Amino acid sequence: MAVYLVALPLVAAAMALLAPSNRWRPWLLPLGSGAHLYLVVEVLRAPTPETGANEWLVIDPLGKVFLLSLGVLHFLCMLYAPGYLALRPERSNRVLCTCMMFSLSMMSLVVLSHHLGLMWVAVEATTLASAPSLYFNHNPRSLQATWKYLLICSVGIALALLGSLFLAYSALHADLRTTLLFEDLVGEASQLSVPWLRAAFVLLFVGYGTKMGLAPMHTWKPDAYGEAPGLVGALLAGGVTSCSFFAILRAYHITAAAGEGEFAQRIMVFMGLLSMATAAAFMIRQGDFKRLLAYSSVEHMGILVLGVGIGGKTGILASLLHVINNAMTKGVLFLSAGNIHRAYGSRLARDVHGAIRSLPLSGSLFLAGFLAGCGSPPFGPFVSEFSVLVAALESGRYMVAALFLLAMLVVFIGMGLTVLAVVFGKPTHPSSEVPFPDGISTGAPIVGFMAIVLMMGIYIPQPLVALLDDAVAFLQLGVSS
Amino acid sequence: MTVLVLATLGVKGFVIPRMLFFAMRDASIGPEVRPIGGFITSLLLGGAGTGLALVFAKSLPLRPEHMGRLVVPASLATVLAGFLMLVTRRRTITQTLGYLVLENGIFVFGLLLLEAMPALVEAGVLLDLFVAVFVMGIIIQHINRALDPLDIQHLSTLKE
Repeated sequence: MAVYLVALPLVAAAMALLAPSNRWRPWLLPLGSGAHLYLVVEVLRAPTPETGANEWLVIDPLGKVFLLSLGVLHFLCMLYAPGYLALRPERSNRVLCTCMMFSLSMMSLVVLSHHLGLMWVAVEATTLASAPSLYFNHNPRSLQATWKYLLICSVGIALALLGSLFLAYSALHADLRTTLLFEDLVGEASQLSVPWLRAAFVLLFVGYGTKMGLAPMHTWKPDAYGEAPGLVGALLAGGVTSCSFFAILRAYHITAAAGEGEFAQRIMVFMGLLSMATAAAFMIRQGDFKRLLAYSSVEHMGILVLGVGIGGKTGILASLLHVINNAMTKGVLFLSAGNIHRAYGSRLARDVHGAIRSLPLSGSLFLAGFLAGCGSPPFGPFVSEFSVLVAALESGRYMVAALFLLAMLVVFIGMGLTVLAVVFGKPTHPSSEVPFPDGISTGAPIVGFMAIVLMMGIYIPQPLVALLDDAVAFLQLGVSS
Repeated sequence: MTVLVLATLGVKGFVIPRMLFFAMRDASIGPEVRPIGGFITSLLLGGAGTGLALVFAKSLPLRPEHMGRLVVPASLATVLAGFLMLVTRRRTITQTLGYLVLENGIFVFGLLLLEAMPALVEAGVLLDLFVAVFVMGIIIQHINRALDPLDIQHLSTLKE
């Protein structure tokens, strides 16, 4: 089953590469992604199979949560794609479509692989697959952003490779079989050589953290998200970064099983808070609303690692829940910001006003997405962000809780100033003359994302709760507390 | 295994250099470099990095059979040199070279761990490296066409 999750999008990518018609090619995307989502749902419904010791591709409970989040995010984004690409008939979408499906395949591979070397190959492949789609607009600014993204992320991930090798050496040093298989490493964790393990965790965290966009390795993010089409931005901010977080979780799991959890968590709390603070500082007076979303992504990546860093059942559960909430909220924000950017021909808050009147749907969704992302009830992120706070208070880390709240407050004000200027005010065009008005094809998928964000805040379905509980239990396998 | 050795030799010794020469051809630039801070500083930093790598490798707990061999210090020194090139060079092409030097350093470390990386995974790593340089080469070409010359100082319109 696991193989199909990787192979099916790969076939769709090959079809997109070969499809001759620029007009019909985008329709392959929702088809391929829909089939992938169907497979994901089947996998989730089936009971977890007993895993063999030496398998490379394994569907484990943690992977299931990420698969669901990725599947839904990618499918809704791909529903948006045909409508968006129809508005850009002048540009060939062959490379973009191929890359979209290829990156879905590689993201699934990241989540499924239980060999850390294979996982590294897949993470690097998602980087390479996103680079050409960043360059979709073919202008000097996007060229510059693509270069920055490609170089910084490749170098970061190279460090993660060194970290993986260090991990293997920590087994070799302890006279164990050298292996990068996840099961073996967790099973023999208590015997691993501690100095090498610690060095490995630091390298893996910095490496995959660069790809995730944690401060201070986040410098590629504002440029990349600013220049990328909204569609690509949503996939990067909700999908590719989640995959890197997944890789960090694997490293954390091994480190914790070796009894070095506290060492890892101290780093994660520090980096989480640093990312939130950096994002908050750069969001104040950020006049470009797409770059604003990039900093918002840095902030949310900080929340993800902070949750695991605080630890305990509550903290880890909050983090995993936030993976889903963050992906869905980023879908709303990036796609609606893309619509607004297209209609106004500018992404600067000083040129764009009154979006709610000229683009009633995208404008109001952008506003709702902003409220959701900043943690206002009744939306999903409120639940997960509040749980992070509760976890911090439960474990008696009052200083962490205070800093978390302070960063959230500054983000709310900073982001709010720009978002409100964009959404309200006197429209730049009278609403009859908007060049790209709201349509069903570019509106409905965002409504879908928003509906999930709202649902996650009011009611989390029972099967999802069970899935999350299993994942939290899985992350504590082999960890003696 | 032999296949992998030949593939590594082919990709690193032939394909990647050819791709980089190809990317450079349009740019009509010579091999001259202008590192930030000048040549002397750059050389001294590289030397200091190599010294640090030796000291650091000594402090790491190595297996007895790896003690006297210079594999670990050589690997760390190469990684540091790669970083130095990435940070001090302004041109896209020299930054790509820095990335390759960094990767080479990591591969040297991998020599100690042949068992941990099965041939298939190693092939995947090599493929990723190849595609990375390929994509970088394409971007360098586009940069040549869009901006002249290959200087990332032109690439600073995007600010915080």
